[in-house]
Amino acid sequence: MALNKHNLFNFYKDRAPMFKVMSMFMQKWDSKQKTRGYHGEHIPEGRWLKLFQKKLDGVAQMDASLSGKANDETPMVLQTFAVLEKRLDVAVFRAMFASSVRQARQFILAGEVKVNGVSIKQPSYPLSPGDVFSVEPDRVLQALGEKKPSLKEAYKVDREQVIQWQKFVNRAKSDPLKVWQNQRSKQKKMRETYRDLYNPELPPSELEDVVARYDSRQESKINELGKKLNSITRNTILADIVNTAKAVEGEVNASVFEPQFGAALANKCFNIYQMVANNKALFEGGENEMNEEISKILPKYVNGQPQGKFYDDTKAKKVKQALSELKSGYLEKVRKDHKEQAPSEDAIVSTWVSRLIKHPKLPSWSEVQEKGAYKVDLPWQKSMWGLEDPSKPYFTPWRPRQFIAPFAVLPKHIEISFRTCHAVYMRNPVARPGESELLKSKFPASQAAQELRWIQQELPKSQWHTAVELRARLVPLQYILGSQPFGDLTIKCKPGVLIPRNDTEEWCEELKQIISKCGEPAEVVEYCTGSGCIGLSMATLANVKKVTALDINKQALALSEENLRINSAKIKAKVEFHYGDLLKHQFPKTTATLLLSNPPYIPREHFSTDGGVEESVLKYEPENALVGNLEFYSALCELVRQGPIEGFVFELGYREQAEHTKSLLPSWTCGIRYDSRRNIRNVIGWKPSWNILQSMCDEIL
Amino acid sequence: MLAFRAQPPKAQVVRVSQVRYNRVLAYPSYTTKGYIPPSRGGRKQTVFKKLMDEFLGHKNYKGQYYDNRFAFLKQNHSTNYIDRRFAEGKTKLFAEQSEEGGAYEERPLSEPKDQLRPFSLNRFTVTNTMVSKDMKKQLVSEVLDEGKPLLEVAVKYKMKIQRIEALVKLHQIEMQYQEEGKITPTMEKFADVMYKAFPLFDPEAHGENLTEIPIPSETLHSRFVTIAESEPFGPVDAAKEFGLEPAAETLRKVTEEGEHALSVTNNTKVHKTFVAPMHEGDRVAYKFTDVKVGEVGYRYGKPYRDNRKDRKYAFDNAGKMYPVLE
Repeated sequence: MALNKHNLFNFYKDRAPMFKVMSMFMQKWDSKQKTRGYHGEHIPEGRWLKLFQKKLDGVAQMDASLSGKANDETPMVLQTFAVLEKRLDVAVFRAMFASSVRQARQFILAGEVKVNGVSIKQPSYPLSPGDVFSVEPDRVLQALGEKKPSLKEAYKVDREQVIQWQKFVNRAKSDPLKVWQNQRSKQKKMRETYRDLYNPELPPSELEDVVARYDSRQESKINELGKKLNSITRNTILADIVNTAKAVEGEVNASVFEPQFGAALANKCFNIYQMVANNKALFEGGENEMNEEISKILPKYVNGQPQGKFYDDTKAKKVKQALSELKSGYLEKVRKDHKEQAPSEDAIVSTWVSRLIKHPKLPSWSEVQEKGAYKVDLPWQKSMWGLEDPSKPYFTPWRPRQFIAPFAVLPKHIEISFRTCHAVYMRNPVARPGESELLKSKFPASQAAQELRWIQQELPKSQWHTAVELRARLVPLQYILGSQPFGDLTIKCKPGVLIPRNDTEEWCEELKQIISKCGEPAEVVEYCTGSGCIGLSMATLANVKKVTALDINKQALALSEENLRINSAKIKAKVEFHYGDLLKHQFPKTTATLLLSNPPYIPREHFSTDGGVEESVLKYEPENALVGNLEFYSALCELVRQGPIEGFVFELGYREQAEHTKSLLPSWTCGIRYDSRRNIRNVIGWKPSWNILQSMCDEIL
Repeated sequence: MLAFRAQPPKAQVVRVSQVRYNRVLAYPSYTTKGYIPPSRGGRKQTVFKKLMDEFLGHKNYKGQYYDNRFAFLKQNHSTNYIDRRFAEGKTKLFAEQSEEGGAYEERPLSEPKDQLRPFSLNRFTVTNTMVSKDMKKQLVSEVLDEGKPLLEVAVKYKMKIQRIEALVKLHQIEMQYQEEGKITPTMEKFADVMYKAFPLFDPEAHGENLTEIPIPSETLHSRFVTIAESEPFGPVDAAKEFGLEPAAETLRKVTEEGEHALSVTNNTKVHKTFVAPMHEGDRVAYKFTDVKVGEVGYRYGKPYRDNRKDRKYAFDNAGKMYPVLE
């Protein structure tokens, strides 16, 4: 699924499918359509069915029972598509090095993807745990970055930007304060709205802004200070002192001069005041008279010669000297004050406006087309829009493309290093309680389950809708799926007939080997055949001529006939199924010398969950195929004695059943066979012609 | 002929197609079909296009959907997924001013893990978390510099051994790239943006379960066994019954050798080889390797089904694909 806005909208408006109003086929079809469109849509249906693996990987948590919490459901069905995640193209997409699987394929085909340092050009390359894969960084930046604009697109945007800028400058020049305030509030709002989001268009944050402004302000402040300091002379200081003293009503003291000169210089000022206090021209005349008097005390010097009238007495010299001292102190104070004092908003605005310069007109499109480039010098952008470095395949300066956020999912089975565009494929994704390790499927588990069914297609359509509920009610999986492998046969299962067990399969395979090795033609009779598995597996041998199988259950006989049809390609012997009740001693007329049987052998008293039988077995498997004891073995021995039988193999579960059989056939050689889990499984008896059966025995009775 | 055709049919057959299922187009639940919008600029506009435009919001002349909250990656180590907070048409960033009634209330998430769920319909899909730079630095130094055993580090950080190995491996690659000066400022920027767009790994909240073992396929089928009433029957007995090794043993293998240790059977065959002694005048030494007939080369007369659909392929060390001879 590509990371684009169209997919996002479809995903946004998507709702859970309305399975309630759909028939089973609709559900399957709909689910298949949607999930296949999402997972590996680039893989044709036939290929996908080849890839699909029936075994879905899950994990069990060993501390689940210790935690004391209810165990969360394990979403095994979501693993349906897990096999696709091994593919290199999918892994590259999951690691967010490409914006879609198809793009990942392109990168791979172009040789931009390496696995363990080797360039791989097959998108279907299967990754194995521990593999490190990497993609050329430029490609990753291209995949996840904004699209690179064409020259025309860039030009269009820049033309618009320049127009907007010119208008803005005009507005700012005509009403600086208003535009300034508008701009500030607008930027504040933007920052508020895009808080915590990555928006490349956002103006620099307040802090950077202040720093930039401060720098420019410093410059203007220094100029201002220079002017101010130049304007201060001894004359102006004396004038200030006189004016200050004049303004005071009553007694003049040092504190009067504090506001202008500061506490440190106030005393000096007061001394000067005391020196000139008796000068009536200074204090009683007008401003002109005062200035004249001051210029007499502090004459102007031209080429080292004082100009005009001046006092040349010691008193005036003392005043001059005191003023000189005061001046240096006062200049220092002014400088310090100026540094600390913030400039007014007006000052900032006026400097800001004075710096706004209109952008030169962009060349016409035909000119740009000819040259292939143009110059831009906007305050926020110093080159063509998105084409700062036209050699790169992505928008420069790089910025993430839009609408990737809702799709940005870090996979659990891949560890990614975005700095180097490398990733490690740690393991194949699995399902664990409450979580599916990857499946970035956006679909609910119910839909995945339907897809899984579509693939398996093992049941007649009419039974689909009940299958899941059936399993929830502990119905054995073989009944739902409808079949069970038995050796190289596929045995169909149906409720009411015993499911072939692995234990039976095991001894049947062993027996088959023995019979085929001996090579002599044989004929087999089987009692309690059920699904027909034992008889049919014997019938696959080349040297078995005929198999006669009997069962009391007519449903089982019908099923075994069906199994014969299904597996007819592999069956070499003639197979007959007959009705027969073992306990009523209904025996077939046959010339067979080998008798096989898997009679019911679980004693009634053990047939409960306490006895170790699984609940699903108790509930759904036929009781008459499971419960029974010595009576069946007695009947079988009767059959052995009557017929032409010279060898037999019976399945059983208890030693006493074997001993019972031996006691009824004292003239026979009998043995016991244990299965691979060291449980007693068979009693075997033979006359000299079937001596080969001895090799199956682990113990002779 | 014409005259014949002009005659009206004698019996009029009314065909009523059987409607089994009214297919409803996938309109979003928050809106109805509404009116079919008029064409714009000579181009026909569909209802879905209109609805999508409404969802995406305005686009400025720079092509930016400035008003859509999903257009931007988060930068505060959280996710920006479509969840119940922003469902039902609440995708606009500037809605506070434009819509009457002011700001809409964000519906809170029901549990903190919801923040990690990208798809609201599928609660089983959970995003991974980013290991913070500090934690990664510490973890790598513990493994490489202090030489702590991986299992100890795994338990400390509640992280699977494979992930620790991967982090260390990627760290080494990063160091190498840095030395070679291959990491450009643009790559740094990209990494930084992606780093801030995901939640950070917190061992308490996101710690991995270190006691996980693959479910054996044998346990997916039912087995029954009869035992005496007084006979104790525990998990180990059950494992025996299934012919499996005890789970503790499996867990040991998984933690020490990795999960693939279970599935991989020892397929590496060691072929006997020897170099024949050289005689005077020989220019090359001959090396002889014992192989089984049929495993090497093409055996004459063997069916060679190169048009089979599911042929096996393998890759050589140079990354080149070749069909496996079967």
